[in-house]
Amino acid sequence: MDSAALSVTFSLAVWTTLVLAVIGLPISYGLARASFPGRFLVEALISLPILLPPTVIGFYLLLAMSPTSPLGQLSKHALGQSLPFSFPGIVLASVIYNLPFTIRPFIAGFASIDPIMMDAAACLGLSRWESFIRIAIPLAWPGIISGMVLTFAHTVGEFGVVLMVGGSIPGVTRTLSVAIYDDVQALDYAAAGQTSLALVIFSIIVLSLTYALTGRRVPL
Amino acid sequence: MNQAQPLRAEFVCSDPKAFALDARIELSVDDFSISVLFGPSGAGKTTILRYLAGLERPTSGQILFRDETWFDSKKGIHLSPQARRIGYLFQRDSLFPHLTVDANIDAGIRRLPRSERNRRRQQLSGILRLDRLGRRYPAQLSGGERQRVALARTLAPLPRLLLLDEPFSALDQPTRESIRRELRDWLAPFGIPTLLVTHDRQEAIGLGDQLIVVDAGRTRQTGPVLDVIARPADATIARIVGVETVQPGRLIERQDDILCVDVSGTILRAAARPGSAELRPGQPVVVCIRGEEVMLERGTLPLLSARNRLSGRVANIEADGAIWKVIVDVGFPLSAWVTRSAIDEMPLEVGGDIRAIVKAQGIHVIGR
Repeated sequence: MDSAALSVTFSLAVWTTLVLAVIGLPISYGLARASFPGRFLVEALISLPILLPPTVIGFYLLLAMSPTSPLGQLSKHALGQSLPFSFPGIVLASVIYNLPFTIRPFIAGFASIDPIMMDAAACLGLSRWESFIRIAIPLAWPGIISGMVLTFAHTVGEFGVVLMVGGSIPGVTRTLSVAIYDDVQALDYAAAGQTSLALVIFSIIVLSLTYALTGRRVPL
Repeated sequence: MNQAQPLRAEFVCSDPKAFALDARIELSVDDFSISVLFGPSGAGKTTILRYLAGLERPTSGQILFRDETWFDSKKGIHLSPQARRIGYLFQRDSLFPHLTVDANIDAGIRRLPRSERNRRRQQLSGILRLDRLGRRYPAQLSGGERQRVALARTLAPLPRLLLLDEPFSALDQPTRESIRRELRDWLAPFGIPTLLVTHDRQEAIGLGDQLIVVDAGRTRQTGPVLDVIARPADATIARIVGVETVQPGRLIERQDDILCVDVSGTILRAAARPGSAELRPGQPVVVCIRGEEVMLERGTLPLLSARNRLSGRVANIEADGAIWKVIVDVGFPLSAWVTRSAIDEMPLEVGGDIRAIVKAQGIHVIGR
């Protein structure tokens, strides 16, 4: 198996999951508790990647990352490189593409908390931040775990968006699923089969571990 | 700190999507006393508590605690529950399920030094009998233990006002009674003024110093428990506080300090009170008589000071523990509380002739 592709895939999945956990937790907490006009619009936007073909998302992301765009300018200054066909580029694409797979289970987790818990925390003098960290996150844990596992596994198997934004540069943007595609194109069915089987086994292990660790409370 | 100032709350909720509320509450908050928000289920008692805690925001009004403003719609002030430093004990189980008993009690006092936290936890464990429960999780506790831990957690930060929302209603009868017996002893050492919500009359009378009667979203009458029960301001309040006999009648005349009232053809003599000065002969009134104020008598008649001797028949006898309720038809149904042994000795039976005796002070007359 292509060990460079394995390492790219693993790094991409870890980065995507971590970035989404950090931005997804406050967003989901807010969405689960607040009701405001236009809330449906925010939820629809977040869920968009479930419906849109990955190539369409990839295409627009590629446009957005072009060197002349604001995002392109920003990355030039901040990272010293342009985003298309780079590792930061596919992380960003993957974060946007995986938003619903993180946020929806997170929201389900936060929404399942009995409101009396948050009332009790407020009356005990816990600040909003303390309530969030000490009460809300531990109580929403099954939903949070399931969102992170889904995101990780989904990123490992990602193809369209990564290929559109990152191409297939070995050791930089070539992930396992892109490698399988390349192998099949090159008629190397043995290599493609090996990698595919590895991904199937990986998925089964991840899901089993999730169910075992969270005691079946995962809204997957 | 200004010790003389009370908690003064006057607020209205007129949001059509929320419970309509019009509350006026004034409590002395200098030291430990229990005020009871009392009324039927669905009267808005819990909602009033939530507004006092800052968990909800009234449409308009003012909530003043000593020299602090907790809420003022005109000035746009609405303090968060955190800033009010109150203690709230919820009706349902509100312990954090992922934390041990000790960690739950520590939840509100995490900023204190460890030694002080330990001291408070030990003090609370002693008073509330929580020894050896510290490392357990809420799921491993009984309902009564859970509510005691919740009370300990609420008391640990030494709140300035304690709000108890039907804290025993989810418990089984024996547990509820034992907690009810001990609650005053548990709370007294902390000296925290307490507002208790209940729809249970026994609980209100047994625990309360002050009574605030709530009905249909309004606070109707406030005063010392026994005063409100003895002298409800109107017939609705009389029924809510459980006055057994509430009958419409007509004031016939005043003789010095005695009011003569005609209730369904029976003449009752009631002592006039300062509040009954404006009652005029001919005016429709409501007569309230508590079951405790009525004696029953059979056989020969000794000379009695009581002004009302009413002949009638026993209409019904309702068993209720050691004290039974006897309803006598004296022209209208009059309820009396009588001990079981008295019923056996007299004996009392349904349909039997009987005389009911009520002192003039035992009859409360309200204008209609």
